[in-house]
Amino acid sequence: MRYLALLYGQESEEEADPTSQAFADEMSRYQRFEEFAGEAIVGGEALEPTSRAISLRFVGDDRVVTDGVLSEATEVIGGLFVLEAEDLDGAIEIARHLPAAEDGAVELRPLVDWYQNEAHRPDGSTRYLALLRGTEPETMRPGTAAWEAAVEEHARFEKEEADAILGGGALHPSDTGTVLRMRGGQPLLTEGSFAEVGEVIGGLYLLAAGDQQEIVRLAKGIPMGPPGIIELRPIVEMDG
Amino acid sequence: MAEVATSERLEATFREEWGRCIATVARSVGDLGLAEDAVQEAIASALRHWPRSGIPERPGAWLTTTARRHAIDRLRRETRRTDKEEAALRELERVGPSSHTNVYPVADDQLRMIFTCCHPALSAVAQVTLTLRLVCGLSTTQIARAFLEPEPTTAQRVSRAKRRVRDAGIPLRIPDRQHLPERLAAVLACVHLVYREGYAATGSENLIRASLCEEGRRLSGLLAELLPNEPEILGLHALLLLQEARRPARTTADGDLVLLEDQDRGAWDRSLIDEGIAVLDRAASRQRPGPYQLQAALAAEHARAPSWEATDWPTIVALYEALQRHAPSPVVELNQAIAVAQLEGPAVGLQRVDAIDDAKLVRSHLFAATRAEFLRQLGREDQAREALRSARDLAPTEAERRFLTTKLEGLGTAEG
Repeated sequence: MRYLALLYGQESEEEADPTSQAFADEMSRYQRFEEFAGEAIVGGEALEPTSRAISLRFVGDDRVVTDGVLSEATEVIGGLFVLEAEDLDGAIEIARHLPAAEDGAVELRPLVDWYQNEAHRPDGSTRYLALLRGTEPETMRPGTAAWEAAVEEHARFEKEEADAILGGGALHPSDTGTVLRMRGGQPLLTEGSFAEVGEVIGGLYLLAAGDQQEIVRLAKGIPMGPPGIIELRPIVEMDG
Repeated sequence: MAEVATSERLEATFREEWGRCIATVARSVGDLGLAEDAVQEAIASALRHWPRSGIPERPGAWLTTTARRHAIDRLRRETRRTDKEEAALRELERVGPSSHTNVYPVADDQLRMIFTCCHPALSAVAQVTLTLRLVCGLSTTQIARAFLEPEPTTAQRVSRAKRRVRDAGIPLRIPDRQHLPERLAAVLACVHLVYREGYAATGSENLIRASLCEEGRRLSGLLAELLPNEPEILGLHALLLLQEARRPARTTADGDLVLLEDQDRGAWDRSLIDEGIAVLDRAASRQRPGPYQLQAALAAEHARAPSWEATDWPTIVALYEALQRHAPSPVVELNQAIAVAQLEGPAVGLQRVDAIDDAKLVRSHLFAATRAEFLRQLGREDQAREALRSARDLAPTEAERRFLTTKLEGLGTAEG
């Protein structure tokens, strides 16, 4: 199975500054994790601070664009990994070594599907992670007609914007999620999603865009209706 | 020889075989929901056949084979199978439904099921519900009655929990040695919770919810059979036996609570006490003490004492100290204060209680009622009355409110 590990924590300005010691320390902690997890890591990205995010709120047919994120939570997503594990126990065994599990929390969500292919990424483009947040009607679960209809709409979007889409995935509903916190060396597990009700993440895209105007245009095309929110987060580029 | 299938015999047989059967089928098909449905269908088949043919010699084997066959049919009918279902179907078709291969002992199947139902990634209430349904074989109707909630609420919780096990990837597996202690702790906590839910019941709720005590005791007994070398399992089993022994004396016929010190010790079930003490001795011989063994030791000490006054208080105090080291909690501290007061008087008891630094406990009726008792013994009646009043107002159950009201009246005051 594939699990999305969402890394929640408090943002620190110091850690966000690539020239700081705190940034270097954090980097080496994650390097150690990546060495430990090895091939269990299918993908992973660190995200720029939420101050650099762009949010799209869907109000009827209107799509309102605002800077930053719409949540007031103090612990926000700072990065993510896609992990391959036989089952939840396997995923927890890996995720408990994540620095975010000790400092904040890790939300483990089983993925319905996941793909990532960056071969066609345009030169000089910026990568963004689009987090699709919304409510979860009971009729919207894998296997239902509503789910299948949504899958088709996304397939159409993915075909139309094939050049700009580098990857993406759909998540099982949040009631299949597990929040992991390591406290005193012991795992503390809770059911469900870390986010407050009504804002749970149902899917994600990895997008490439030349500029902000382009990324907003792309995001507006993501098939999602009210009361959905799309959160665009620039990805930290390690090599350059 | 086939046994005549009276409806009582049928019910008893299903009850007896359910847990083992579903555990074995779940292992072959890898899915709790499918296993449960298949076993239900097998029981429906049995209800059609057995009244004529009689109950077969090995009813469990019959039910398991039939359930497997139903599961195969169901999987074949699925047009879109997941990889896991595909693998399960191939395996089932390879070995055939009646393969009672002894490769997997049934005991392991049952342990696997218990560890899955009590997986720490499930909420406590989901763990309890799944355990009662899939291990104990209680129907959703019975669980709903035991928890005093509408049946659809229970049914929804059962189906959500099964779905979560499947979709979140909670494995059907016995944890390895490294993780056994932490996972076993979750199992024991779940079984203890099942028992306590029943134990807390009084009055009219008593008869309905008492079934939870029975299930709790069955579960701890089953665990003690499946993992006989785990002293904490024996500790929990001993604790439940000893608590059960006192249960008849802890309420009056009208459902009023009776404190341990006022209980009719002649009404305690001596055979349960003997059994509990024997189990505790077996646990203690392994010399790996833990919180459940210590709680059982405390219960055993009270069970042995001929009266409240003649209780071995130094031993009780020492046991509370040990418990406080193993599993520190403000409730233990409170009980310890009560025991200390038996040796050193109410003034010391009050001092101890007032030294407890825990916001939640300080706001509980237990705390207020304990203070009230020490104040009364010290002759500070006005303060005792005040403490009792707040205890009464904080008490969560009707039985406890009634009990505290009676105490308040005993202090000789008008209603306050």
